[in-house]
Amino acid sequence: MDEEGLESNYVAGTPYVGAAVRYRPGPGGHLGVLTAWDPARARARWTIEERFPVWSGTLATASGLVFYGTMDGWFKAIDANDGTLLWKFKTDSGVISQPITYRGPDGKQYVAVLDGVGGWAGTPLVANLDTRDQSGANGFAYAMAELKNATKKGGAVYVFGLP
Amino acid sequence: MKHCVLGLFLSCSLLAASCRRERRWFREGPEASALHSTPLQASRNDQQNLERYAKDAWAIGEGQRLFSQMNCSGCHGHGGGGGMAPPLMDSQWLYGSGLIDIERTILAGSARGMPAFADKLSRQQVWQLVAYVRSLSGHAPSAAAPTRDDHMSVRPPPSRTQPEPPSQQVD
Repeated sequence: MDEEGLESNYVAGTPYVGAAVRYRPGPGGHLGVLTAWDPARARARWTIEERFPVWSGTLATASGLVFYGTMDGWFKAIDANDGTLLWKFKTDSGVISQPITYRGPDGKQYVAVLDGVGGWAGTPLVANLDTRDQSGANGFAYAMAELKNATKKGGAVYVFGLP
Repeated sequence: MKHCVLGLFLSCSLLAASCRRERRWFREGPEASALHSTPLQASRNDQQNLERYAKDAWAIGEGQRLFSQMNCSGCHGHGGGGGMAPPLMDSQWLYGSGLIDIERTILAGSARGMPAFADKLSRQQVWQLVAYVRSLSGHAPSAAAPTRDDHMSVRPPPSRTQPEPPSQQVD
């Protein structure tokens, strides 16, 4: 991250930032990581690197599955024990929501997730920012400039039945 | 000798032209220090003042300072690339691209959440801010457009920004 402190004033109705910021990918060039923590041993059990920040929540089931979505539009199921990718599904827009699971009226188990990219990191795509200014979206314009080539705006609910 | 005269003439004309890049107006009329200007009052009188300031490097520089101090950058980005608020360096102008339109938006705010700055800035400060906002999309004259930034370099300077014809179309 590049940052420069700048003079700022309290002006009602405006954000009090006082800094010019530019976010950059970390070592390895990726912006997100999903980490499974082993609290007993106080260390990471496994990690999965993602190109964009993992803005979605995760859903862990009693049967040892972890579901999460990515900003470039993949909804994934992971083996909770070793982090192996078991299944993935391409959604129309990026996922930043919280996946849920529920028992339907028919007694079967379902997994549901909402797509529709956005949030702070999604602003360069959603608000159609001019990414020539790398400090746009309070610093995310540079890191997220490629999001518009990876996914698009949208909004839909996906419900998956378990086999 | 002939070369000497020609050289003198060239340097004189260069000197004369460069003088116009920047002029500081410390003694403006009473309307320049007015607070609480209504956009209607302003638009009746300000076109000439706005045009004068939009061509002036000093006014643009002062506007750049205000852009940061008044937290414009917090929503519009430090180089005008946008964020919570729309970009100011592209060709899309939701509330009009004219100098008067920009002045009106700064004074009155917008229905989408920009606060009104009429009671926070003098009219002269608004003219400076309009001059800077206009320069972000590359529309300042090349003599007056900022060529570099004293701060972290986050965008090509306005002097190297290719101006695009303004459009009011919303996506």
